[in-house]
Amino acid sequence: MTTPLDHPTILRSNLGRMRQLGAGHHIVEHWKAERLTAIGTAPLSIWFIVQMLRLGDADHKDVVQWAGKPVNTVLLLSLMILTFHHMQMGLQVITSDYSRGKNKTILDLIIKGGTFFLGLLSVISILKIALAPAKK
Amino acid sequence: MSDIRETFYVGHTSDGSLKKRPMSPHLQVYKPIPSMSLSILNRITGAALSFGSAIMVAWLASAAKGPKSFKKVQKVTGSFPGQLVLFGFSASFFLHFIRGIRHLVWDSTAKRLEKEEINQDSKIDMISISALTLGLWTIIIGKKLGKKKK
Ligand code: HEM
Repeated sequence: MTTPLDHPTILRSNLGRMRQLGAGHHIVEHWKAERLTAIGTAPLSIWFIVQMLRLGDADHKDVVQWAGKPVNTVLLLSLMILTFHHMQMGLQVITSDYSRGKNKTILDLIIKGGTFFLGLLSVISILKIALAPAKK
Repeated sequence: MSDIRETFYVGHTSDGSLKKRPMSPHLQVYKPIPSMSLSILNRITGAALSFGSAIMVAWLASAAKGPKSFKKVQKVTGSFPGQLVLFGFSASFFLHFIRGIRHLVWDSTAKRLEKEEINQDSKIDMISISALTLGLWTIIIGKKLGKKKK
């Protein structure tokens, strides 16, 4: 009735084959880091929304003054760094589910490049606003 | 065997012969329920927020560049299409935020994981997401109207 499937003749257990899928702890670390960055961004992003509400459509001078206050600078930097770290790992989870092999490598490089660029741009911008604000 | 995940599909029939086990049913077969929709929406909003974060970076970078660039970005974000995008951004954020916290609670307590509980909590989450989004925009629009009166 049921035609037996041709089964690989290699003498390896299913567990042995599965083990090749991950490099020991690094998947657990990825999972943990995704959650730790989430715990960090959660309060920071609520803080950011409240600040945006307070600033409203404030002009350049007010925004520079706000971002230049040391505590705000640190919170802004933390928010952006954690968010981009969380985002890069999260997007990589998605590509792992829908692509593999060469395609996944290329997608992950694009993701890493994109998040690195945007993350660094935000960090430099925040530092510039705080330390050497543009007047004109 | 072309895909290593097929190792999961190896099963046995009662006479001991090997059999390829079935895949899960196709998505279209199920009637969507809140927990399912929210689950996939968490992924979709995660991806959407990634693009949305570029808005935050543009805002910061323009402020770093100077008042002129800052005005330009403000003009875009303040326009009607810009406000619509920000509305979508905020709705996506609140969904991902509320469901993210739900994930953290599941992962740290291993509670509320029964089918009934998941469906109850999904409904609660939908209500909080809507309340947060509408609340935020009530404040924003209220502020705008208040300014116009002055
Ligand atoms: C703008 C900011 C954010 C971006 C761009 C972002 C992006 C992402 C992405 C792309 C994923 C992967 C989704 C998936 O695997 O289906 C993800 C997962 C996750 N995010 Fe975020 N996220 C942000 C903010 C947050 C916040 C504030 C929280 C905290 C409550 C959070 C909690 C989580 C959790 C717990 C997961 C894992 C969910 C799972 O395993 O399915 N995220 N995020």
